[in-house]
Amino acid sequence: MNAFISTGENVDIKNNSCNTIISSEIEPLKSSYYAPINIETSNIVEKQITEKEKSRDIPKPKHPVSSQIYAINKYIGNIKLNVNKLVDATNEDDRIDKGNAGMLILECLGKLWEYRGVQPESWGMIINFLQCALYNVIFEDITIEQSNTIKTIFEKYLHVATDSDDINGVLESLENIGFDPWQVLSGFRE
Amino acid sequence: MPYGTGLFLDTSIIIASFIHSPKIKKHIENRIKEFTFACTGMVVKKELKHRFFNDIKYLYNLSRTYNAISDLNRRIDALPKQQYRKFRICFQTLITIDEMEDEQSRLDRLRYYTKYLLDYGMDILTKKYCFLSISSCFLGKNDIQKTGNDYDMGPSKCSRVSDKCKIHLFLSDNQNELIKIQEHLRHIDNSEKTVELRNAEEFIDKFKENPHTIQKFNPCSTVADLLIALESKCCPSFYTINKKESQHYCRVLNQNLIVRPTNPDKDDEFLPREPK
Repeated sequence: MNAFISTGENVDIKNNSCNTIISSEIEPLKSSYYAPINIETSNIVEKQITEKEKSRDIPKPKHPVSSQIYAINKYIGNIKLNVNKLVDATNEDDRIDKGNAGMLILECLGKLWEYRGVQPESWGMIINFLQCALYNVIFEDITIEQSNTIKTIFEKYLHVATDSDDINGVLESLENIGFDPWQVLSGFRE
Repeated sequence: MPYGTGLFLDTSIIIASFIHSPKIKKHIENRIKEFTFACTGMVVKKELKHRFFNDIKYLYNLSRTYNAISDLNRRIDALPKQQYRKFRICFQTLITIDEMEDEQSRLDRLRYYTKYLLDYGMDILTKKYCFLSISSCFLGKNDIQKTGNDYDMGPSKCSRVSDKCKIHLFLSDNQNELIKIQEHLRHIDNSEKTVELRNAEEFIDKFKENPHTIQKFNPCSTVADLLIALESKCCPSFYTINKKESQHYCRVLNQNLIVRPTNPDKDDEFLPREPK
């Protein structure tokens, strides 16, 4: 029997029984930090984990398997499709279509966020900044300039291989059109 | 109110322009736009490293240690009173991440935010603002060093780098201002003096007695507001959130004082300099 434990921070084993649903490879999620182990060795591994926790090692992201790469690309494709719809709707000033496209973009970003464990850290940071900057935006009110910039951001920076330049580019572009990627950190509920 | 020329930003304003609420950030941004240039100093940079970024590092390390954001919150709640400032900065950060998603997601977001700030925060600030180096503060000169997953803020006390720290030269260059400040502080009623102002008064005495060994009193930690005030004297306006000490220094140095209230709905408070 396989159980899932964290390679760095989470221990999901209680009383020698697995309390985590075993996910298939397609399930990316938080468990992407997890690696399967044999239940008989769980005590030994638990001890190792505690030692590792003390050393504060960050779990290295696992490489995505083909099904995960497929899913990531699918959601990126969906986002780009909806960004084009957002731009069209903005040009036509169709508030309903703008709202719909915006909500679908957020939904896909939420799906992508679940794959952060199998992607480079910079990729996770970009998805985080995009989600946090866009999640309380009223897409119905979005301007042509804003929608065009959103399109540029997703086309230019939302790909599988990202680096620090991409993060800074995303931040700069978001801030230039008045979106605040730091709002989650800075009190948006005022 | 267009002032033209220079505006000096103190540590509290730079931190606020980074992590306070969008409304406050907007207020600060608009205020800065009214001036020809905005600058700050090396003692401010030292304070940013050892106050703001060190707190971010603390939060980053916690985010790597705990598995749930609620555990992390409890840990911060348990911080001693002396570390209230740290508690406040951290809590301000956490309170807004709370209630968004599941525990792991929130923890990951916190980790991404804090890591980004540690990796790029100081670079962003040094690109955004001009850091005047007139104080020759050695502690402010060094950048944050990353070693593996650890971030080294460098030495935090002048006494540990007394051979490299040239703050005594800066203080000597500003001897006249120091005397004026001390004179002004002497006329303030003791009950109205903050601990920092009392420290400043004593510090100036010590400096007068022996200027060459002043580093041993760790001026960057004990009288940072005084040093920042001296760094800012070339700017006609000073922008801060804390006016308790600044109002006295600005009066002596004949600067306009602009105070940003922490309430985002309030406008900045102006304490104009006296006309010559």
